[in-house]
Amino acid sequence: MKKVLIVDDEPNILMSLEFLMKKNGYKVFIARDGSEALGTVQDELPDVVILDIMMPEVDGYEVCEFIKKKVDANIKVVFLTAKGKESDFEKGYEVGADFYMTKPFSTKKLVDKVNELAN
Amino acid sequence: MSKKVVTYLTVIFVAFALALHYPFIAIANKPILVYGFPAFLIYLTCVWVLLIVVGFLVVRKGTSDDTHGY
Amino acid sequence: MGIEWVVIILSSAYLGLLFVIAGWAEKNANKQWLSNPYIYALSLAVYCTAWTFYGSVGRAANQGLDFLTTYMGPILMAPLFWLVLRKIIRICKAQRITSIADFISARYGKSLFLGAFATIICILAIIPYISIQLKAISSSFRIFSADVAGSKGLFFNDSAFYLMVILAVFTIFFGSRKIDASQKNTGLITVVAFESLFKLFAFVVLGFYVTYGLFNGFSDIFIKSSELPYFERLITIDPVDGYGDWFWLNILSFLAIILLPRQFHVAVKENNDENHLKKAIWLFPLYLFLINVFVLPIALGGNLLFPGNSVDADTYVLVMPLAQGNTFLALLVFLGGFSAATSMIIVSTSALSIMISNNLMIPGILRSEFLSKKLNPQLNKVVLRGRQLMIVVMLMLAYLYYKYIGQPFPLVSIGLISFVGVAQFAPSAIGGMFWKGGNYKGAIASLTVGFLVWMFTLVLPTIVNAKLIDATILNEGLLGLSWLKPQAFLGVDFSNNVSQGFMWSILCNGLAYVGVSALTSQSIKETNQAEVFVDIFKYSTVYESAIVWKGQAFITDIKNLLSMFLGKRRTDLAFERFSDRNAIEQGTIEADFRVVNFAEKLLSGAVGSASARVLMSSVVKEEEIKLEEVFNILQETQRYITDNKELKKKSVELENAGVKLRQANKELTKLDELKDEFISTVTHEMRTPITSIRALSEIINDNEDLKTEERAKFLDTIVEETKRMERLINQVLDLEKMESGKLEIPFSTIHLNDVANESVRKVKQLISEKGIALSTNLHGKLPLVKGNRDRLVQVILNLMSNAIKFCDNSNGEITITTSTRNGSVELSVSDNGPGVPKDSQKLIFEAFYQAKNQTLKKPEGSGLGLTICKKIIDKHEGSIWIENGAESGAVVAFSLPKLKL
Repeated sequence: MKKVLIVDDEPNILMSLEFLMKKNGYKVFIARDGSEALGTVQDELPDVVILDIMMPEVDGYEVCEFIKKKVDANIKVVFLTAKGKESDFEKGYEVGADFYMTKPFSTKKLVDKVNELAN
Repeated sequence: MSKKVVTYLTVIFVAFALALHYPFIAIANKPILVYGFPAFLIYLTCVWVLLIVVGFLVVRKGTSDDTHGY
Repeated sequence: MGIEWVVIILSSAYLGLLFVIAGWAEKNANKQWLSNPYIYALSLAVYCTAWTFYGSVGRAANQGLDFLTTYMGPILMAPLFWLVLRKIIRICKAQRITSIADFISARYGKSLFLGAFATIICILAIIPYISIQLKAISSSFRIFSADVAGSKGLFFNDSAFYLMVILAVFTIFFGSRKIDASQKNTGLITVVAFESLFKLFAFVVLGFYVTYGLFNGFSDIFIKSSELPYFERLITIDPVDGYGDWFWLNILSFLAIILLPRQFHVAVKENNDENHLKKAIWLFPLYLFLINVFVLPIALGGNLLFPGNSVDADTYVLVMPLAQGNTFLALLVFLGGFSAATSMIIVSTSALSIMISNNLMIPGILRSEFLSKKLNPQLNKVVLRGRQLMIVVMLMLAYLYYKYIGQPFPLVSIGLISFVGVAQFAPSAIGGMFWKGGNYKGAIASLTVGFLVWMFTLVLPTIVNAKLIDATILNEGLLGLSWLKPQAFLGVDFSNNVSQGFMWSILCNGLAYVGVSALTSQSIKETNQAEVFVDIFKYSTVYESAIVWKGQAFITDIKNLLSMFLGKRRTDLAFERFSDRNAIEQGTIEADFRVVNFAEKLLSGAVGSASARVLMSSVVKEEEIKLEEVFNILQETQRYITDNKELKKKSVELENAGVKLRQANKELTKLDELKDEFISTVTHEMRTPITSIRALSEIINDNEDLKTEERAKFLDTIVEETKRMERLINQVLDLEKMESGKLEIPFSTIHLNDVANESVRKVKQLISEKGIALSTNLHGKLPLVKGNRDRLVQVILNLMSNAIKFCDNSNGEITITTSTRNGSVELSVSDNGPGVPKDSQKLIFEAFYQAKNQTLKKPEGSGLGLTICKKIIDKHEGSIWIENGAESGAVVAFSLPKLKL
């Protein structure tokens, strides 16, 4: 079973993402902020990470950079964020993201993308 | 009223049904006066009053659960 | 003027009063306070008839405490009201059942035969019971009039006859005004409640009079009467067969309190609100307690005052005050007994009349081609008039019974024999409510066996006693077989015939019910009803659409059928409402199962469920359905409806929130001079709730197989997030108004302590609910300031709500302090939460904080609230800041310049 790590500090968004991923047959892990995410990534080595950017303490860019450089570059990272400016996109891909998606998002699109990246 | 309260009420019924029948009533069923009252009458009166009070308390609990609960 | 005239005038005046009360209550029937739990509980006390009033004392005087068995059963049933009675009420409401006979008939596939059978048992059991009420009134009347001839005279000399006429008029007026018997008769019930109160009052007054007036309190009576012969027997129950009698008679009254037609009538048919049962659980036993407290003292007092059976103990309650010359009290007692008798008669006859019209009369008319053709055009009138006619017939029969048959029996024995008669319903009615396996054949066997044993062991001996048949059967047994003696059935001879008869009848009856049900099978229609009865709490809300039905019917046919009974106007109205509620389009020709079911229910209210079934099948072409289909449809619809209801509720909430959002949005777009940054902040803040809303909505939309709890949780979250957006928008608008100077803030001279106190008052409730300790530390000589009270309250409330959010979860503490410093007045709110990191302490008041390409989030929950606070304080030319407390927690404070004089 493929593993997905979801990182977001909004409990309701977490809830919906968790449901979606479980429904599509993934084993789901959850982190509520950046620093928790760093730990879980190392412990579980997920296939895909769905990552928010704005979080207390450690932000999503840092988490992404850490994953790609220090853990495993094969772990796919999808940014899922409210930050929708051109410059935000660019920065996201700069730190090594595989896909950048803005909130609010289409559940179908997200699921398709994750499926594509996981396989 | 919640399931729990209904269970209480059922337990009350069983307990009082036992209290009002043989062999329990045989304890008080004696032809004597206690403080000028027939023993059996005292027993029945106490059980009866207790039934009213317990019923009242349980229902009040059930009702207040309804307003404050979920 | 003789005393008998006073009695006549008083009783007429009393009856007149009943008319007035009933009329008044009918007029105010829609008032909320007339449907209250006290009236309901009091109406249950119709259980206490003249038998209680006169007979209990008589029985206590002769046999001692066993008179209490009549009340032990009901008080034991009281705790079960919520479990048993509520279920019956729910079933009857769902199916518009109006009597115990209807109830049994409906449970077993709406059988005409069972309904008729149960009705006949009721008539046989209740007519003698009504007659003893008449007897009680007329014999109490004779005590005043010293008219020894009494009932032996012609009817127009007999007070009971006139009473019967008046009661017939009353019952017709208030017990059967409406064709739909499932409608409430507020007038009738109010009168019954009044009568219950009145008879209790009269009896308690007499009790006080005897106990404290004629004697010196309870113990005086007991000690004095311990000299009487048989005293020991009167204050105990016989240890040899007393316990057995005690047990069986308690069970008997336990069943009677639910199954007696008049109890069913007040407790079930006239019930407005299931919650009324809650009060009745303790109020009804309390009533019975009060009305019984003085029975034994009065009985023993009577035995002391009239030694050697010189006076019939049934009349002690009247003779005692009369012998002391206290006519006034005697008259009060007479009226008390009168009220006990009349309420019983009124309720019993109206219950019986509905039963007879639903289960005997209407099926009879329908069966006879001639009658149904002839009566067709005004069937609704026929039903109503028939019911009224039945009231008269019942009372006539009771009167004739009283006059020609019932004379030799004491009040109690006839009452108890009636009880045993209706107790025969217990297995089929109560059993059928909790056991799905009970079936039609079982019910028939149950009623037949119970009825026969009852007739044989209890009714037959009374007929022999009345010298209508020869006594050999009593002495030698049926066909000369000694084990078939009615009063020693199967060779068992109890001291008490009633408990013996009851035991045999109910045992045989129960056995027949269980045995036959187990050995035979149910029809499908029956299975459906059994399912609905036993699991009513699953179905009652969905019943209208959950019934199983396959077939073809036309709406016009159904409407025509209904208007025959309900009148055209009511039918049209009912259909209109039903179509609205169920989104059935105008001009639909063919009726679906909902319509058929709805119509059948409406008809049931008027003619009973069995007749309604027959009538409906005359206009509907039905097909037989398979058992699995039944269950599938039931389950499907049930799930569909619960889900739908939930959704509907949520969508209303959503819609409301949506309207507000749209309004806010309109205003937002008007603010064209908004800065870019401002917009991006706001849109950013809004993305979070919108994300949740969109994702969850899509999930709900795409996943039809969601579990109900999951669906509910998601919907709740959507509503919650919508509210969050609404808050946000309001804050933005507030902020904008302040920024653009559109918001006027009028200043006045105020005292900051007052403002602090007002704010505290507003959150006190919330704070104590969360178990947070709130303390204030207000400066005693605080200078005045200039400011806007409402806006400052807003600021303090905002600070406090943040404090509540962040303070320690288990031992929250919040302190509000006011002080002065350097010509300014300060107010601070401190909590014992985690505090705010140093680098965010300034930023926290910034509205554009996140727009400046920050990727770290400020502490959650601060939203725009603090920004608004800052704006308000700025307007006051004050300052606001945040710091961490000495030990822990955050302190948010603001200062305002002192008022310059």
